[in-house]
Amino acid sequence: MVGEKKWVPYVLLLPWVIGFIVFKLYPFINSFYMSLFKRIRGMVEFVGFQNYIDLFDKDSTWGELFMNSIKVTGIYVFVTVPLILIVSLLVAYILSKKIKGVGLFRTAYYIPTVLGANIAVVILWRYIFQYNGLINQFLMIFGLKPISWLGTGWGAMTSIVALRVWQFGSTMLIFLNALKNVPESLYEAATIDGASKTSQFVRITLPMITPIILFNGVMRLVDSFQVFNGPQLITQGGPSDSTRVINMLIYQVAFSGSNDLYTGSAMSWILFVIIMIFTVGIFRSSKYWVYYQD
Amino acid sequence: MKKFWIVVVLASSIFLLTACGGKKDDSNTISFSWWGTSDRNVATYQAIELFEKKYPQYKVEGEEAPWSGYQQTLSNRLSRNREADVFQINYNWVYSMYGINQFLDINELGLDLSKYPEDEHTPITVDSKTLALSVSETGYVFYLNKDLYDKAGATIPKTWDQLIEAGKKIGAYNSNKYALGRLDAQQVAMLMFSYLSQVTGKNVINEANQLAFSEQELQMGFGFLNELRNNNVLIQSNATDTHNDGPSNPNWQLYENYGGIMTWNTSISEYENTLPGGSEKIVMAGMFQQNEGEQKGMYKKISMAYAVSPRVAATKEKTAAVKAFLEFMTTDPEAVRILGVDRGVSNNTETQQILLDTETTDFTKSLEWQGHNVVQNIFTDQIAKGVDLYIHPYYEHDTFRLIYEAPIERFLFGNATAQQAITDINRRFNTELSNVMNN
Repeated sequence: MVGEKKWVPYVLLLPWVIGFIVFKLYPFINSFYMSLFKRIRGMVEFVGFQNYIDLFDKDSTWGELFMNSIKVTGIYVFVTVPLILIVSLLVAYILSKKIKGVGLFRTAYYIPTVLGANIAVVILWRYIFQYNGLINQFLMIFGLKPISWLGTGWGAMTSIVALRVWQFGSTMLIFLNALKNVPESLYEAATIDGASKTSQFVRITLPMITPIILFNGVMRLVDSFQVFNGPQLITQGGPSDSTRVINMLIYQVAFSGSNDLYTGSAMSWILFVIIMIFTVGIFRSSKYWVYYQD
Repeated sequence: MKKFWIVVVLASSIFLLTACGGKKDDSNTISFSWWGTSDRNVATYQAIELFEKKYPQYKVEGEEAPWSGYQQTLSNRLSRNREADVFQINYNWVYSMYGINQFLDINELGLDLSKYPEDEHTPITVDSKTLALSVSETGYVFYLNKDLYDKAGATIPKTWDQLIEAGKKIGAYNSNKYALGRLDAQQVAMLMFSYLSQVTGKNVINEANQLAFSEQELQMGFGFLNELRNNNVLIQSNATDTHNDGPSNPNWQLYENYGGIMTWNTSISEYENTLPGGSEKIVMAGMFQQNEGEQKGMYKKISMAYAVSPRVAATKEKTAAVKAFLEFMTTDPEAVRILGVDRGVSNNTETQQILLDTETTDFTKSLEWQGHNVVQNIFTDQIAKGVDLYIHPYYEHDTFRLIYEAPIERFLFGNATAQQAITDINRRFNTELSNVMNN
């Protein structure tokens, strides 16, 4: 009977474990194995780390585009992540106050996250940012010249960043919960000492929620590095590859007509290493700026 | 009871994992996948229905798909040996995917290819294996919105100079309107290469598999594009466009600001369908020439072909079924009439004759057929003069095309000068072509 009890949890976990092995672990390991091969004259040959070396050679097939995609992804991440954190924290701060209809506002701000970057939403954004789209129509009311949002590099980048920042709902909810957990006694003491609201926010609120800023920062960093839907559907990487992020290039290389799963796998591993470096870097730096009460 | 649940969980796991497994291969069931718009889908399903009536022993499983993503899906299915028995392909795919025997030599089916022109299947024959059945040939042709030209008092041009004159007139009529409008990098590349071929008599890629045009010739080509942009034929910068695909671009279909398009003659129905009154407004303008009466600058290729899975050859029954299906789709009078020119105009003389003999519909008046005639006439004339502009099988390779399309796109968006675009094209054209051909 005792032995049977020991086995039950493992058996119940089995479907998940099988799923993890088949759909996560095996592709993960296999992609590294594949990245060491190359198709040459129809035959797959072992080339060691040549695919990785080629990706940093400007004159190789994908080198120039890959280095450009790293730059583009970097710009996207370092603009998007701080913006999401700032916007979601500010909105969460406002919504943490006792204002009339706060429940409605919380729901309204969360809706974009529920909708996500689905096709209908993305197409809507495409129309909003078109040359004769909603934003330019709005600008023209004030006599301003229309802007080629999707026709210029910075304009196209703005549109995909805006789409991502717009979906700040889940980050905001986590901040909202963190803000509510800051002990009220700290604010009362600060008020008695004559601290202003700004001072209280900077000296009490921010330090107290740094573990959540760390959590949100890492989560948004990881998913921003892996962005795909928005750029793929709004800009298709254009104009002139100015929004071709790494994941789009991986998809193009591995699954489009070139069908180069080997180079695509190498790109995926480089992306993985980049994300790891930044994640570890942020965690290492956290001892200097994250405050844990315990 | 616990044992019962353990068994249930294990059984569920096994079921979930085996659900991804294969389906039973039935020799009398033919799977057929294709890409197409709704017109093509409807016609194809009607033809399939008719086939099943005429051959009740067979069943056809049709698998329609939009163009976007079709190749990726096919590629994935081919790598898992899960492709349909018969699948529609672009002719160059037999090169980019060849090497792992993913296409059956259709000679093994015993199809009668004698009704096709002698060299029809040469481009899809590799190592003496004919890897697909040609459905039709196609070339880039200009189609114009005659309504706009009439309103602006411009005549339908036959030469580039006349096109530029039309651009000026249309611009004077309304500065938001253009003789052509916005073309994407793929279209502009073909426009420029057609123009340069008229001037030089050279194909883009020569027999040594290298870029045939010199730097000076490319400068001439880009200079010509600038001339078109400066005379209201093309928009000044693609950055100011709405960024919708050609047929769904409001400047084409809604505002009618764009007076024309350069496209494959087999794709014109997409533009025709989105433009209100398109069949009355659009006229086929052929290929503009340096001088009136000339017939130059026409590139062509097999538009699409039916490939067959090597799996089909495993049984005689399946081979017979697929043969019957392909013969039916290409030569059965009723099927040919139903399918019409949705996949272009076949060069099979029997198929063409069926369409010509059809009393209820005059297929020769369709924009596809008119374009087909121009493509074939000019191409044949060129061949007679020793100029072969058949499209190189790697010209449209997904990796290689970036080498010339990306610089052209940067030029069109105003992110690169003509010289920068030329330098970028020259820098990697030959090496990259060699790479994709060797890989």
